[in-house]
Amino acid sequence: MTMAPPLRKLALTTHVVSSVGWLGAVAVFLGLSIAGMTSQNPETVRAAYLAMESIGLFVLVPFSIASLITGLVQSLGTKWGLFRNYWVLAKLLINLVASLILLMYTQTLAALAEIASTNADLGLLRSPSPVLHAVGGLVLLLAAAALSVYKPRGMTRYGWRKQQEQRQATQAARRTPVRVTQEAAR
Amino acid sequence: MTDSAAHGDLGDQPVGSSSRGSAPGTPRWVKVFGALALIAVVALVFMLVAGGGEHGPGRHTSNGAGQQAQPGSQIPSGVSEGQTPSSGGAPGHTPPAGGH
Repeated sequence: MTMAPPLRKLALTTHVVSSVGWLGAVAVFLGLSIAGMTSQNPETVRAAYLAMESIGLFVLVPFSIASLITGLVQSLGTKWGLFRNYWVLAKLLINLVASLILLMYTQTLAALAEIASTNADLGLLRSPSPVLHAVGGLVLLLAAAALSVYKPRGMTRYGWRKQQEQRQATQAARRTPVRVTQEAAR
Repeated sequence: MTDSAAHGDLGDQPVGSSSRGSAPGTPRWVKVFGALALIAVVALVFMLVAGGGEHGPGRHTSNGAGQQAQPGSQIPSGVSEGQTPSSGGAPGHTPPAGGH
């Protein structure tokens, strides 16, 4: 089912906003994780890890889910389809992998925030893990953004079959009215 | 902006696809993308195996401290007897040992 243009624009706007919001939130998360790993100020380090947990739960996870859902709506509601073009399929895989890792990583963030809420030794907190995960997420989301803009050519076999079917159906529809008109003229 | 005439802008409908009689082959960029994804997966599996299959909060925190600071468990090193985890963190939260 293809969406009407006004609905399609609305769905597209929602998808772009949620995806770019996710990207921006990951950039903020990266900044906090660097501060948490390198700052010499104990309060800054603890605050960074506490903030990272909140951002993870209340910003990153909602944005990732919104991006996934709106992406599905956008692909299924347009002629692009979900499995017809490689770039759409690649974006779906990127989104699924990133969301899954993010959801699992919230447990680590909760553990780090719990340590940060105590007066524990800062050495326990200075982990490169949040930085590595943020950089990985940033790379994946930038790749997805680039795919959205460049839309590299390449149709899957399924997409090609569907296109052929549609062309045949269109050609058949064009021929039918002509025959009817000719028969009516006789 | 991109070649909008050939590909359509963000969210526009696809224009000008393959019209040849045979199914199109896999584009080069898809092969490169797949190879990179495969390398990433292999590296991840290698890291998991090298780490004894453990990839939870305890692995991410320095000295495996992720599980030491749980309420009701051992107090992390550097914390005195009176300094138990405050309620400002995640009360009652118990990160799974086999989690991410």
